[in-house]
Amino acid sequence: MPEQPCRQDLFRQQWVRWQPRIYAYIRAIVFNRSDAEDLLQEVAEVLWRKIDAYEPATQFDHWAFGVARNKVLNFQKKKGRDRARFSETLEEVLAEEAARPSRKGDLLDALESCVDKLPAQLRDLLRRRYEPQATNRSVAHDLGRSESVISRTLNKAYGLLLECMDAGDSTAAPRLSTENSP
Amino acid sequence: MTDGSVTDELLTLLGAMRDEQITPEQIAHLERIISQDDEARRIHVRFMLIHGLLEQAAVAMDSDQAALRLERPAGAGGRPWPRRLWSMAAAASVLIAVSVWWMATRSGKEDDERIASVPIWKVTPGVNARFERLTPTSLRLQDGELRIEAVKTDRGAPLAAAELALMTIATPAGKVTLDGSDFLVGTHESSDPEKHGEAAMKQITRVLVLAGAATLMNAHGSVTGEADNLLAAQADQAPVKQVVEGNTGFAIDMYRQLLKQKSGPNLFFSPYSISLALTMTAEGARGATAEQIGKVLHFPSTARRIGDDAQLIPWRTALIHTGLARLNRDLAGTPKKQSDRHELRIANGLWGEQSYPFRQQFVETLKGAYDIGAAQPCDFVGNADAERQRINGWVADQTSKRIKDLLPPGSVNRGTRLVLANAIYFKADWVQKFDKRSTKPAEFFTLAGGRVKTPMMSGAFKQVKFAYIGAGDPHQSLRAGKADNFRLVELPYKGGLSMVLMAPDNVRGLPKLESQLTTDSLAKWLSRLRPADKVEIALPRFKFLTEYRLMDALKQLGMTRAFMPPGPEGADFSGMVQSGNRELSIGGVYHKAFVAVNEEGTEAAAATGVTGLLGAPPPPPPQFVGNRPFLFLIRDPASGTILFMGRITDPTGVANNDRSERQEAAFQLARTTPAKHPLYQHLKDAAGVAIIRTYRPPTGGIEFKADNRGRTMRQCRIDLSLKGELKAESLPWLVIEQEAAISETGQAFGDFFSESYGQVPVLAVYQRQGSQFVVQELIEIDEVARLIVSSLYSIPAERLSKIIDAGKAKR
Repeated sequence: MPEQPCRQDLFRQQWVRWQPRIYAYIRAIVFNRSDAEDLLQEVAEVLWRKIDAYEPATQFDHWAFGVARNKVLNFQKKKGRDRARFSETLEEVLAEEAARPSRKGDLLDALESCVDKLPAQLRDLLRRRYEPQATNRSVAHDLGRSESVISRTLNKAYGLLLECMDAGDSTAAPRLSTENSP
Repeated sequence: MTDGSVTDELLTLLGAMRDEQITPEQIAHLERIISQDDEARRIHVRFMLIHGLLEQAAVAMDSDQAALRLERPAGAGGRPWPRRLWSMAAAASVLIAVSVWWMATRSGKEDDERIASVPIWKVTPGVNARFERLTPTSLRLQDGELRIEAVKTDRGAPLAAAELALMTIATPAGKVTLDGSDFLVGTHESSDPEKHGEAAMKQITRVLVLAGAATLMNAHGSVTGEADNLLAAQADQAPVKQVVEGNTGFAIDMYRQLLKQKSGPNLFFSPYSISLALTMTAEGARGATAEQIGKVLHFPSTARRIGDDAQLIPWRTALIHTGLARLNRDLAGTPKKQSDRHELRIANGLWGEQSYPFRQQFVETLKGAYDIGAAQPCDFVGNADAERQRINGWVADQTSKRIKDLLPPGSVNRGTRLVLANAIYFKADWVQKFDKRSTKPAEFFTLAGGRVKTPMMSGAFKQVKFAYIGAGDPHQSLRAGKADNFRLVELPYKGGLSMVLMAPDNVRGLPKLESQLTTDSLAKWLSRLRPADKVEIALPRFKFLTEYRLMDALKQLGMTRAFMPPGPEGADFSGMVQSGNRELSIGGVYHKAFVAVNEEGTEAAAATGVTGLLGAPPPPPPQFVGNRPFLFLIRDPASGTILFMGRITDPTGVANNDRSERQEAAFQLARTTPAKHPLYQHLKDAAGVAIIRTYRPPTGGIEFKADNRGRTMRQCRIDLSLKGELKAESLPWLVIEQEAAISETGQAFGDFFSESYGQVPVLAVYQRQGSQFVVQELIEIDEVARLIVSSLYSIPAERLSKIIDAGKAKR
């Protein structure tokens, strides 16, 4: 009979599954990437510290999103007006919205599927833009285009991804003309 | 429901948020949209979720390149175990310990700490600035310039923390929002030279971001900039961002000009230093003279004053260099461990004839904007050469004695009214040092097709960035590389600056690489640099001093008027003179630069292997082999400023490109084997010349056996002092064949024995002067023998022959 995974292993599995989603949740509210990454670290630290309280039978995502929600809102309040931010009311609404479970299953799988459906040039643009340490500026340099063209083209890619993920059936994802792609 | 136009607008705003360029005004606008529209709010959340997921995917991809794939957890959906979790687990124990302490000790002090950490805004107005402070965090600027800095309040300062956040400045051409710590904001009424009458008058607002972020917006749009960005707006046009590109354009132009002079194998200069000295000069230039200097230095068009200020110098020039100087001071003063710092000193000096009526505003501008401690009054009229030496002494002091005699004899005379100087000194350790034990003599392929032996440092580096330009595999050997391909490697220094090396795959490919060098291409190549797990680097150890007179190069670049006699069609430096007359022109522009690249230390650098990859063996690490002519620059990656730039085509060669024809002839003559060297033969046959062989550095009081023409052996006691003076009992001339350290020009004999510059066999030619012998010439007798010529000590072979012949006849 196979050995039962210990609590820590279960925790790790759950964290690996939900970590991108939790990060994305934080990112929906926090404008700055490094702040978001710090917050993700803090969420992980809290969860790890309280691992003894984790009941494998309970829903990990509810627990993790609850911790993340508190962390994000506290962070924003602490930062006060020093940072660009939305009003507290709107942040609370966004926090609820972002934590809402997806009806279409795993978001990351859906996103991967939709990225696959993008025209090759847009896929290439996304790949370049999301290389570690890449910026719009570095991509613009590489492709010999202006930053504004890169930003607009990224917006188009995002528009397609939004449509595709909303459609649920990623096979029906529309294809974008590549005329304006960098 | 969100319609198409709203969606487009929403995507634009969300794109700005994604790119972290969203302005406070855009945030407010976005909030209005998503507060009122459920669908817009849903799009916002989904948009940022996608962004967050893609960012995380990038982290995971990054992790995949390491060995962490092995830790893939069972049942985790097949995704690799993110490296991030490992670091989080490691960090957690530390954080817990810290947080316990924090909770136990911070209670009751938090408010004070919070107040102490909140910035207040310090406003320093420029001359004639018209402004009104409305609240601690807002003001109205009507005309003129302000420097605005965020400073920390003292503990318990009676200021409401909540009010102290962003600073807003209303100007006639737009509203400025500052978030950060240091800015220059100016607004001026200017005229458009292409228009006439009232229509020509425009109000221009400019913001130079020294540290932090600023947004400039008006009814036509907004723009946000970060450190070193210049934002500009006219009242009827959308704001634009002018990125300060440092002196890259000027650096490349000057590099090309110096290459054209074809005066030596190597090249090295500091575009930053030249640029600073010329910019200070430009502060007093007017009209076409100022126009030419600005164009040569690549001043951005948005930085120029027009209209009422048409005869003035672009205000941005001084401000930018103030900003960069400040940046450099910040870098030098980073509160890290001393061992982690670099030394970076930038100093500007101004010496003015004491009896000459300089315009006070010009002097004050230089003192204020260029960190000149004080304008030094000089007696050029009565004692020009002493003043020249005083200035040279200042330069030597600022450069740790590396640059001596910047101003050559005769460059300052009784007609001199002003000398402006810049000195820059940089010293840093590599983040990862070369292992001295790995340095071995190796062949370097010169551009001319020859080979010379030179000490070659080498090692496997892990904290470097690497780029391969051209089609092909960066892991392939250099031999397999295509002729036009080349490699970049960025070696970081402790303290934040770095050296970028660029070498072609083809040993003779440097000219091709240089032909492609432009501001844009350089930026593009640099943007291709990526952290590499491991790069094998070979780099010659080199050290040399260069000296340039830049008048011709600057004229070729288009700066002609400054060197003409003053007048309506000539030089116009009326901004320097109290009377406003055109009385001054530039007499000369002198530049010297010194560079020494070595292993910096003896500690071994750990080579890092690629670990833990399963399956196929990893490809060999990419190589950067500097055994061929290459180009290099020392830069500040943060601002993009190129502090120094150069090329190496023969690391054994001197780089003084201002050699005279005689010196050049001697240099070429020496590129023969010792046996064939006519001077060597001549000396051997000459009477009164001792040729002494030793391969021990003569550090003083050593007895040598003198072999006079191979016939007579006699004892000769020689005393050497660190000043390079040689005592002996007799002999008018002395030639020592020795293995010795040499300086790059041979002129610094004091350094000859005091510092190891690399041991090479040389013939040292000494001449008796009273009871002492003083070195006159050094002749390297390595595989490719060469003459080390110095403008101060060298004597032509012909003259030496005559002296020897005279001594022979006398005997």
